[in-house]
Amino acid sequence: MAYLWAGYVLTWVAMAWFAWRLESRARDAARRLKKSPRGEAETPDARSENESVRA
Amino acid sequence: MTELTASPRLKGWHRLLAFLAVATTVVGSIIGLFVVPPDAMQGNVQRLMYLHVPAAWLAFLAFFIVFVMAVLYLIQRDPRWDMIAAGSAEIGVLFTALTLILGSLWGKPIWGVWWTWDPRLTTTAILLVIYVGYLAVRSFAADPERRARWSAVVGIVGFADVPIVYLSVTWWRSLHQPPSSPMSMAPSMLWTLMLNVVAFTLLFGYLLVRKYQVAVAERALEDREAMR
Amino acid sequence: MSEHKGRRSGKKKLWAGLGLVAVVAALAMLIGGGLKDNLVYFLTPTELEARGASVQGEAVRLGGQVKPGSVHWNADHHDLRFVVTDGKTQIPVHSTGSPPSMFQEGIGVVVEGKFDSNGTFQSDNLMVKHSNEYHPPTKGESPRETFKTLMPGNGTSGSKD
Repeated sequence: MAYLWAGYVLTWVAMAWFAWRLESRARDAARRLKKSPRGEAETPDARSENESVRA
Repeated sequence: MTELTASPRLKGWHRLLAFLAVATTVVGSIIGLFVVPPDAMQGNVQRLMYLHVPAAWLAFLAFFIVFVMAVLYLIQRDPRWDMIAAGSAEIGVLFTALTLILGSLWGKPIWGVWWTWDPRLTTTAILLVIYVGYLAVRSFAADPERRARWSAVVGIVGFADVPIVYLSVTWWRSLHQPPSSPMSMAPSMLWTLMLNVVAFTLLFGYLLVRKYQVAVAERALEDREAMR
Repeated sequence: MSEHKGRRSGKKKLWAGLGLVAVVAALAMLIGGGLKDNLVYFLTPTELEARGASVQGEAVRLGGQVKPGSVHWNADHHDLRFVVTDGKTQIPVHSTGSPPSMFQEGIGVVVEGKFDSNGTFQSDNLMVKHSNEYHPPTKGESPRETFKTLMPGNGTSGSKD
């Protein structure tokens, strides 16, 4: 059933796309926090460097 | 503002949430697609319900959170409430758009049309436009405080449409059917629906936590740049 | 979306402003046009009949139940005739093209169209309203069998179920 599969695939893709965009922004922010002068202090999520998108 | 970034306890959350969200989504989709029996009347297309309904509920929840955070912000003027509201609104827009598209994909084979201007569909379209407007207000106002204040107003006023959307099928004649209840659904279908609601809720939780973390980090960066 | 990313250029602000204007315009259109005209989404057969000649030739939505035993489907010409009822008033409807697959006797429908001079409601758009009840097919019954009887090329086409 084409409608059914279109709906499920679209949902998965939309969710993954949204999460991926968010994760890349998080990586970007973490990188910039590190570089910035007081970056050593508290990076909200330095560990997200090698984050893979899982959603 | 750097104290905002000091939330080390939040760090691990999003990973656990992401893992649980993916796991429940995979299981929920497999059960929804292959395990639970199709509807006697509608056949396999009815399986779209397991995504359409959770998407709609989570959109409502997202906008409810925007509403609460907007009220809190206007009372306390704490930028953190504004950050949560902004994140929740964006995720709510995603889920509202999904609700509309999934409903359309369901409507075409069952109703016979992709779209009709019935009260439920129209008020849901309005809901989407309101919160796209919310995001537009945010990118329009450059000053963080003004941005938070303006969008809080939109978030509070705009929420009025949520109960209207929900009750539209009871108040007015529509093509859309009234909400199902546990009594109007076979138990296996109800459980599948609930599982997918849990999956969507976990996904929402993960996205919201992550959005908040990113907002905090980006705010800290902006402040550092401003201080230079 | 990207409002956090550094300083805003005037160009970006212009786009945001245009976006806002578009949103406000869309809202005004939806509420003014869409919702206002659709608070009464369809008329029942009784209401439609009460309007009588005043709705002749005017596009309206008619909603009701497909009267059991009233369906005549000509598969060769994709020509469908049936009666919509609300229990009190009955209105004959004529529609061309294949109906939605759920279409069957006794089901709720919403029909967009207008009365012709013979008092038949000529449908431009036939929509099927389904209930909020979901249950698996009972043993021996295969899903989606119900509506196939109306579709062409299913062996049973041409007859009303």
